[in-house]
Amino acid sequence: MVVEMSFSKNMELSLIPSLPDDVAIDIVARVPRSHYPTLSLVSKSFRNLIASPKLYKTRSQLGITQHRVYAVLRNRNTGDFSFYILHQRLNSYNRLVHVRTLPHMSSRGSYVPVGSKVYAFNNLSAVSFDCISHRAQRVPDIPQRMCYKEVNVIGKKVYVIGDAFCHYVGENGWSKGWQKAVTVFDTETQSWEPKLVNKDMSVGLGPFWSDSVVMEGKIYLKGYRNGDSFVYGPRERKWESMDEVMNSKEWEGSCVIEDVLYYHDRSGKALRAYDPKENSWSVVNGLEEFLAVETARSRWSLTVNYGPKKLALFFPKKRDGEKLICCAEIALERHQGGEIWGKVQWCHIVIGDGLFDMVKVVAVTV
Amino acid sequence: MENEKKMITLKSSDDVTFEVEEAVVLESQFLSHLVQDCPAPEHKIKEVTGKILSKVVEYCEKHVVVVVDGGDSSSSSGDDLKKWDDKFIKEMDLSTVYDLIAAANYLNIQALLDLMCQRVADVITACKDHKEIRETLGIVSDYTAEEEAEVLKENEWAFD
Repeated sequence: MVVEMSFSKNMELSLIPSLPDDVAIDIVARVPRSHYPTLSLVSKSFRNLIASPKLYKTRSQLGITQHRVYAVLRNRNTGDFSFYILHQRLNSYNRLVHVRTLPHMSSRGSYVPVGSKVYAFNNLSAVSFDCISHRAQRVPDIPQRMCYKEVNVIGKKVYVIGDAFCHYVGENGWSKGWQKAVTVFDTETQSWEPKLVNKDMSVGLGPFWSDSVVMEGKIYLKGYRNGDSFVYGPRERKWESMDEVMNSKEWEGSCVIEDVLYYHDRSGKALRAYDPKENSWSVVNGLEEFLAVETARSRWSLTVNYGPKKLALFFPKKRDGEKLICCAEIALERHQGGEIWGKVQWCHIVIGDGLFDMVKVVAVTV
Repeated sequence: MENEKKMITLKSSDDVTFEVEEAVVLESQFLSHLVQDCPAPEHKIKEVTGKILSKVVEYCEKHVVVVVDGGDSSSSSGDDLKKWDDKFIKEMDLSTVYDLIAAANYLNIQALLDLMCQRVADVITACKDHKEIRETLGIVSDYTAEEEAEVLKENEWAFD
């Protein structure tokens, strides 16, 4: 017995027979993102829907956006730096899969997410790609050559901080040379802002920073030496030294989830969290055994935000002399009293042939 | 005393009647307007069959917000409702799901519509490939073999 549905008139154009298209879009929005390549194969109208912004708008309205994680890996045989996506094939588990439509990156690339796009900044050139089509688009070159870049995003603007060759007003009038500088790319206008912002920073040239993050609208740059750690507030264009408490841990490979910084402290065998509101560090509970067993001898580790209250932890593992890359998804929960608890959702090898070095990892929201 | 609960009779397209409390009817935006605008004791819903209306009533009775004496509103706890919903949709065939989507759309019961859309999404998610999705949803592919190969190539990274 089928009810006459007067509101679905365009039966011949519908995505799903006997359902109105707006309902069908609502349904597809609820299907996990990793199934979209399969859905594209169903029919032309499905493929058009998967490529349409309307679907992603519906997903965000329904609050079911997902994070997609991209890793840049170096192939030890070829020396190429390429993009891989953490993808769950149907009836399988998460693996890092090579995205062949994307170009190779330079060894000094920096990668940031803006909305559903990834921006990649090489020495001078830059590209962006959206994680729906996986097609790279050129972004205007960085106006000045910049070295030792840290790249961060606040809103729709990308802040590139590093050594730039520039003209500046010094003690003896105009000078030129290498200086630490901030340059800004506006992703909405797709243009570099005209002025390179020079600021007197009590830090010389060179690779001074091991990591950088954005919290509460400010960029935190962690120095290899404690004296080289800074905070940049773009609104006031102001440099400050980093707070002692935040600077007291050697955080690296970190990520920020809901304005709390997380990093894996390998020697301390702990996932640590820094909350700028309380200006204090804490240890994420519930992971002691996992970290002791799985990551005890890891020589590196990287974290990335993987959803509203989730992070992905990448770390190496050796098997039969081969270096493999593992990933664990960790769900985070804040208990009453402020304690943060973590729970491992899954953990396995995401790339098995010991050919690859992990370079960078970035997560976008779709 | 207002202990006497106001009852309303709903009549399906095939003349099956359901007597429900007014609060139950208020779960549907369409019905609450209908009841307010037209205070008749019985309302005929021509677009919904008895079989589907009984499901709708069952759902609304479970989800109705109970107003207790103090004026606090409370409903079954979230976990219980979730369990009940799971059971409600378990093993429900797609044609019933579609009919409930049509009814929830017409009667404007957002939570029921959401539940049913999620059910179809779960069915799609459980399919092992695009052919099974077509078969399950009754979709006839409009791709030529070449076009399909091209789309497959585009999404090559996602498949083995």
